[in-house]
Amino acid sequence: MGLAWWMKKAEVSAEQYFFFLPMPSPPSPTVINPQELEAIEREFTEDSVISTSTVGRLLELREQQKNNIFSDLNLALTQCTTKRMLIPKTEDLLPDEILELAEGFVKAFHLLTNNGD
Amino acid sequence: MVRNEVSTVRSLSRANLSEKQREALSDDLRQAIQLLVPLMTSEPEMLIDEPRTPCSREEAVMYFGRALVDFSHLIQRCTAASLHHTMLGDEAYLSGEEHAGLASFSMDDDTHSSIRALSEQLRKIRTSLGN
Repeated sequence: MGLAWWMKKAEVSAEQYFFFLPMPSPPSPTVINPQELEAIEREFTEDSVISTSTVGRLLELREQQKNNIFSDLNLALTQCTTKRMLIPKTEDLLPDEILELAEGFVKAFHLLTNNGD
Repeated sequence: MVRNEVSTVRSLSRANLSEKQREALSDDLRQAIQLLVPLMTSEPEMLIDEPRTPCSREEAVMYFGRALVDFSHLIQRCTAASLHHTMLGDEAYLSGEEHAGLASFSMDDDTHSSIRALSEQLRKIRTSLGN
């Protein structure tokens, strides 16, 4: 039961998935209904039959939460920098452990959506 | 005196800046340093309390989603902290202060612990998917 049908992009890199700086295309914030998230996760723990679209919806909601976090980061950096300043690349700011973990998340994401082979 | 290898200052050298420009840039940096503090000290609730083994693909998606949100918060916090650290070095450089001893950004124990937990959660997810 893959989720490839749900994927909008065939393949994403860690730089794209986690909006590495400088952020050329920052995500737009999305309003997320926490009750919907809770209801879906409750379904998962109630041992009921889960439809593929519900699984896809859960992943979509979590990705929207991720995007909102990077939208907040982009907003904060936009507010605190001026034309005399520049924002270094994420690769120069974060330690290797975090960059490697970002790659790991993208690999797992592709595995979950049947694009990891 | 040399500028840090990673810097938020657009100009390559303080020698290229007039005193007025240096002061303006120092003011920018001081304001930015203050603005970054709430982001680098935020402590959102972790969704992954301990790594779990998924029993199905559905559970793998559920644990992945929770870990994804935790990891995104971690990146946000560490990016802000590293930028804060870089700006402190830049401000010291512009002010002509000795900053050669400014160590590179390093993570605290809690962050190391979170990275270990998230890595372990990812490993369990990938194993459950036959990878």
